[in-house]
Amino acid sequence: MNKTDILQTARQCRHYAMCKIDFLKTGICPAAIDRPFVSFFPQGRMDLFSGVYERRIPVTKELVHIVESCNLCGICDKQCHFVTGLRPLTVMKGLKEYVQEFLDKGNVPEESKPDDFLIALQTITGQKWASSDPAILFPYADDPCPATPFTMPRYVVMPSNSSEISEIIKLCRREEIPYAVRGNGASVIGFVMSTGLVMDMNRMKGIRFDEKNWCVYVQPGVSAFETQKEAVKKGYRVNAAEPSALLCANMMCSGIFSNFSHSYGILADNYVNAEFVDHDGNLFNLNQFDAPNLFSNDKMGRKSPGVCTEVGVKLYPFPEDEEGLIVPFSDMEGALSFASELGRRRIGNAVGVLGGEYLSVFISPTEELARRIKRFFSGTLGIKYAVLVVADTYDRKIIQEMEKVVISQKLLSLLILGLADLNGNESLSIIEEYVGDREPYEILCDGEILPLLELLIDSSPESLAKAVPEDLEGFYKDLYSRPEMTNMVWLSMFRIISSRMGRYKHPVAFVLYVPMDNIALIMEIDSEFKRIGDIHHIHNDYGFITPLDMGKRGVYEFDFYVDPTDDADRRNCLNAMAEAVEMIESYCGGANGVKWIQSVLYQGFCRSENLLYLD
Amino acid sequence: MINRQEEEKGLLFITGASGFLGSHLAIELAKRGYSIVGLIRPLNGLSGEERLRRIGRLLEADFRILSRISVVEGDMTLPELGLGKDLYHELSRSVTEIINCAADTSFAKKKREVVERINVYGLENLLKMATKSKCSFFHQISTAYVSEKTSGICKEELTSPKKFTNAYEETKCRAEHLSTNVCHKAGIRLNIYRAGIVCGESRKGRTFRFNGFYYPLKSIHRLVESFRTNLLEKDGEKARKMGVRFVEENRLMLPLTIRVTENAGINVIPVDYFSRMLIKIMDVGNQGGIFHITQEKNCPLKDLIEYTRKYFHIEGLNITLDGSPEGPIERIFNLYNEPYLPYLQDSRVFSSENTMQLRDEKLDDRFTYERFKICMDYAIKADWGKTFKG
Repeated sequence: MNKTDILQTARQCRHYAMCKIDFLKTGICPAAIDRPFVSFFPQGRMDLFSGVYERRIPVTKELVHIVESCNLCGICDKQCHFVTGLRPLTVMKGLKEYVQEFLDKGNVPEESKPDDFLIALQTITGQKWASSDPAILFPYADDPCPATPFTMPRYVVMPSNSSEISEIIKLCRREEIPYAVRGNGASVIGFVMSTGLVMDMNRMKGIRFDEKNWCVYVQPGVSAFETQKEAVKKGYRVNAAEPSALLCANMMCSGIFSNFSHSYGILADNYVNAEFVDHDGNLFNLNQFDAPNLFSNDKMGRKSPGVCTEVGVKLYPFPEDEEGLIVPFSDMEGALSFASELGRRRIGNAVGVLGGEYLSVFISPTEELARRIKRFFSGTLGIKYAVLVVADTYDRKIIQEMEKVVISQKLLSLLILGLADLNGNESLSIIEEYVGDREPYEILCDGEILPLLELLIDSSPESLAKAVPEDLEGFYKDLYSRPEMTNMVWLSMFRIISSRMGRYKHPVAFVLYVPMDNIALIMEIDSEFKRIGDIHHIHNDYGFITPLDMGKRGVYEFDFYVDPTDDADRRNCLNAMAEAVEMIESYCGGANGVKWIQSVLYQGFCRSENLLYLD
Repeated sequence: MINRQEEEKGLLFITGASGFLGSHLAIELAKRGYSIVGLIRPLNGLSGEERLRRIGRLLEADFRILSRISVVEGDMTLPELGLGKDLYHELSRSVTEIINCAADTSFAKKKREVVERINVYGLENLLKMATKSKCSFFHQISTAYVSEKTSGICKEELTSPKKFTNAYEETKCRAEHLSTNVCHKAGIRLNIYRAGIVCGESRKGRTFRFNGFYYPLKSIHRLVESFRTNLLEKDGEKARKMGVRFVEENRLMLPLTIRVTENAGINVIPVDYFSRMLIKIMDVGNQGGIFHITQEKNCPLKDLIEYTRKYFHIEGLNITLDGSPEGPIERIFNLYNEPYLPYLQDSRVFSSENTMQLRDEKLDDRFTYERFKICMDYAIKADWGKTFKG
């Protein structure tokens, strides 16, 4: 691969930080274990390749050290391919070659000299945890959101506890250095850039269970995946966002929502207590009498209350007989009505109405397969929307009485492992050629014919692995031999496949809270998003809706997709975003129950009722 | 009775000229020297002309024959048949006879609106043209299955059943009444031709529509192929679990029991027989009337099942008169063939006195195993229509 092709791969890094968590049991990049600055992770080295190749940063001693720390083990290739389809190993190799060529030519790497502020930071944290070296700073300067300008910080620091954070904040105030806190060193909406100091919380990875009080306290470097993993080991579950997102960062930003918000709620429903360091460097927690009132909601937005240093999130029990199922629909109205009904009847622990795009992209290990499967699901089977439900035996029975047609866990596993065989399978012509009154998916979902489908579809880890590049076949075969990889409950809890939504292009997500008792309004908003996306030539699609608070409200996402490395696409997306914001604001101002996620920015600790029901 | 051959052959306007019956008829009439204008919708990016050309190639129609069919692109469901004012008026001035072959033959309830739009409202538009034109003879293609479901014989007369099997039967019945009323008022002679279930040509089995009686057979073929693959190319365990296995002489045991009623049978006629009979009736039966173009006797379902066993080398395919429990194979068969199942329990028999009176040659219309085999050979070769784009 030539350098231009490598650059193209490097620039496509989505900054989802999935290489920072061990979500596939491959282990994480060994280079990052000693000093987990983003630069030591594959994500950071993808940026560093662009940086040095485009001569935006010099080759420094630190860069040489970062490059040498990579042993080309290939873990990144497996992890990244699973999520984005990218093969970062070529970039890791390219970066090594670039630096080697630089050194072979007799060039001497630069050495950055510490200034007084850096020395002060290093005094607080220890020398190796604060840096002003461009090789450390560069991966904190950019993200894929088209509205985010490149913003190079002057310093990056990794504190290890609240006291250090307090001292750092006081130092920043004294020296008038602006600062931002970044969760997993990733941001996809550009709120955590700073021209001054970036605090990376990855050293603060403490997890403390208080089982008697159904609570787990996590420090700001702990990801949703890590929290869920530890909780599940003890027989509990937490309501968690995307796996690489850090829980504290999530709460600080806009609160946590997931399909489990159907029963566990959002915002303040999810935590017991939280600890902060405020902008003066003082510690407080939310159960303190004189703590700032973070339970209120100001729809005009509010300033961050400080740095969240620990959050106690609720633990939930889950029944052993829980299973997932999918109820397919040929139209949005039917799917939303059904989800709303589940809310009203308190059925299921997790509910999400997925669009055809999400469904096919999530379950497909490659983009090419996702496109084919979307055509198969939507065109051949007539599945345009799918209501995913995680429920116990009793609720599943009720659902089957409500809607006769369901994709059971068994059928979904069969379909996922048979994806590579689904489209173009001659034996399935019988479904493609069906001309009767039922939706074709009704035939597929008929429980009685499952044995026949098992015969018709070549469904196995080996079969699925045929869809990926040959050198990854063995890895995928082993991976999909693990039952959790097709288990709807596990996948809903750990959410490791939802990041695939960024595989084709980076999604710019618009999240709204909507009234579930006004489905016509939701459909109108959805068509408006689509209209705007279409006129600006931006790939766009409905994302999901999860009913909240007994189906009275819902959290809804619509996505515009952009290639941040394509100037025309970026421009179109920015224009579409501007028009979409106007549209959203007009609905928020005029339609009851519509709130934009901007209304909870930095207010993730507020009461859900204050957001959902107070104008 | 006037013999058509003694009359001057005028200009025939055929709707649905790219359809299964319409195309066969148009080509057959062209062969006999008629001047024809065929109404064809452009479809799937193909012009009307191209669609007819492709069908002509499939049916091995000579270029000179096809050149006698002028194609006009239009749509029966649109005002002025979608032809545009000038062409509409020009045709109205020159057309002397109209054959309405355009129809939607879907059985699904969800297609009702489309079926009604074409079969009834489209016909209204066409009749409007007929009344404004020089048309003196209107030919309406219908189905024998518009008749009441009785245990007796269905006669060649207008009928008003209280119940229909599907929207197709119902709309074709309405179309018969509509064309009768309008033609009567306008003084246009009307022939209604009620076809049985039309299959491919008698000698080569050629067709490009594989619905009707083909549809359930297609599902059996797909199942047989899948089970054979599983048994021959894989370990066959899943097939055996469903009771499917090879028995002697490479025959497949396929445990599939199909529910039928006593005396159930289907009335299948080859498309070339249909065309020849229709033209014969047109030629000599020009006083107007209703004509069944059907088999004298139905093909009993038990015979059809026997043909199927023999052709596909299967055992275990049985019929039952009462409901028996469904296994996965019955389940998929019944789900897939839901719209066609009523015809497996249909015992309507059709008289064809009017037609027989005009028939001056003995046509072999029996649906024998040989004829079944010809149809199946062609269907499988054509992969049930997948290879034809027209």
